[in-house]
Amino acid sequence: MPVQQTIRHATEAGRPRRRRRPWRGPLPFLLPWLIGFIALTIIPLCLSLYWSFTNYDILQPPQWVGASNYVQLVHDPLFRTSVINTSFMVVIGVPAGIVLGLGCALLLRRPIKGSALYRGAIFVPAVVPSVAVAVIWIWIFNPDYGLLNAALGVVHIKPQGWLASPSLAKPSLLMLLVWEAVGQIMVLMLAGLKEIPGELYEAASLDGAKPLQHFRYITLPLLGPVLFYSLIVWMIFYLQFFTEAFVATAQDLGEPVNSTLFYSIYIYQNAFQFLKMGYASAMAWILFAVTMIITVTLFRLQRRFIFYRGEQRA
Amino acid sequence: MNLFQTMTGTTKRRRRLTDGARHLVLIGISLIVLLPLAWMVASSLKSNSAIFVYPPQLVPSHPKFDNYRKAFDYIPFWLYFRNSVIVSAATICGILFSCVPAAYAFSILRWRGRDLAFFVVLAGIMLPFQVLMVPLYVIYRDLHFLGTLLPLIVPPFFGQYIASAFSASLAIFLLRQFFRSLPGELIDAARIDGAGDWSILFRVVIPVARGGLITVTLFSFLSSWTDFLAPLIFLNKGSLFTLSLGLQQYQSLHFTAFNYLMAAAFVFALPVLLAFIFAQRFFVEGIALTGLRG
Repeated sequence: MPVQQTIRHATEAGRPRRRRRPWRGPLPFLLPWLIGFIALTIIPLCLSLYWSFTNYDILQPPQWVGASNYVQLVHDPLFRTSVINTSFMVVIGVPAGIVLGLGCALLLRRPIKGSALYRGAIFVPAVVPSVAVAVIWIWIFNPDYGLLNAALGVVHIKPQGWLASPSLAKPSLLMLLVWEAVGQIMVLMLAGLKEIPGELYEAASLDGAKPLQHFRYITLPLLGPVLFYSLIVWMIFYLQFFTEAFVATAQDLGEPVNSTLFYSIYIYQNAFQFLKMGYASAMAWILFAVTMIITVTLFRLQRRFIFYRGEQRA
Repeated sequence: MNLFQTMTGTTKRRRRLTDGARHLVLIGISLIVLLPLAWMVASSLKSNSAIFVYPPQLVPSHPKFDNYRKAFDYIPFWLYFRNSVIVSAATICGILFSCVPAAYAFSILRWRGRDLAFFVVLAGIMLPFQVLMVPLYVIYRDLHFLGTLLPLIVPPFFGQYIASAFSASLAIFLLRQFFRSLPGELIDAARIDGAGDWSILFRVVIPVARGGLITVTLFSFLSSWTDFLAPLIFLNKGSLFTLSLGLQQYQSLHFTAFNYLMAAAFVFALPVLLAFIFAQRFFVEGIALTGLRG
């Protein structure tokens, strides 16, 4: 920090002309963003918070009902189902994606012939549009003519209902999401691995460290910030997860037996199918609050576990 | 990589062995990852009678390229394609228009409260679209934006864009990272030559930080081309649908023409796949820089 400050002073001193120019501040550069931020973020945020305390069906003006939406939510069994379903995705999807992504990155870490090809292949699903991903997998999961049941048939496993089965619908969606996620996490991990200086391993080897110890005592701790970052980003993704579930169950949202009724799907239903805008706003604010609380908690915890090198803590 | 130069003969031999094993595992993983895409292409070429066959064939015996023409007639494909192009082009232009100057203000310019203001931008990355979608719907209704593509076209020009993988806040963050890494002497030299901030932005910063602009353009394209939730909520007329929404029309309660659906999905994914193939470097750098998804 002190070094940065001296540099700043030095450059400002070497810039005598700037002071003579009429200085209008950053406003002209920020103007479009600022207008949008006030009109399309701050005002909607306030409206949404206000509506969460009202009954509002879009057609009639909102009616103040106090905290009754929030009270109602606690007693709403579908709300509870959506929380459980979403938690399931977060708790399993996030670690699964990170472990597999890290695994691929470790495989590709040392130079190997065709590594760019492997990396490209594993990354490709990330650029396939989510809706296309969803329809491809709906077809793969098709109980009668799908690829997956046919493949299982070869090893004499009974055909499954997949997306149509209450117990398998969520794991099926997870399979598809992890397929999409692994490549992106891998690319991030590869970038993180590149930052780790090779001398550390050399020194550890001279001290007789085994490969597993390399991983445990050098790779994992030094990858901490990147792992932490992925954890936050993917947690937020799964908390807001919507598109693939919506497309996969478009005919009957949340089915079978509400097993794919995720939090965002239920917000959508309340807002745009049942026109319970106040109720949906309350749900959205709970989502926002939970996201913030988990993120802040994780940031607090990371100070204890994660080691930052140099100025990386920007 | 110093480590590997100091290896002894035995470990070298072992390494060649493990290299073979690595190739095997990597080929296996790549095949598993690519299989769904191959299945999409294969299915798109199957005739109506060959598509519903058990066990399914991986390679269609009589590929029917005619399917693509039929798929385009099955739904108003080119109308949706055109809407997608309009929305994506507007998103890219809008984000560049609003976020490049903003990123300049957050990186090169110095002013009081800058870091606090930037923290607000960062907090915006965490803001779920679900919180904004209900009030935005009402605001756009009152502005008579509903029934047009404007709800998707206007906000990016004001630095407001949230999709599941990318947002305007993230664009500002990304561009700021690029701008901050420019050598300070470059900007100081321009100032000494008497350049104002706008000409520094256009003549120095943008040309030198081209990579950042390309990355943001690619991510804006990828995310607006594939976005689903915002079009679903704001485009309430069939003639306004983007491809994300239109694709659903191949499915109905009782029957889905999977061969046509796969053909359409492939053509829908193709522009992004091509962008990725030709600009892989920028995608990978962008992800490494922000860790963002997609």
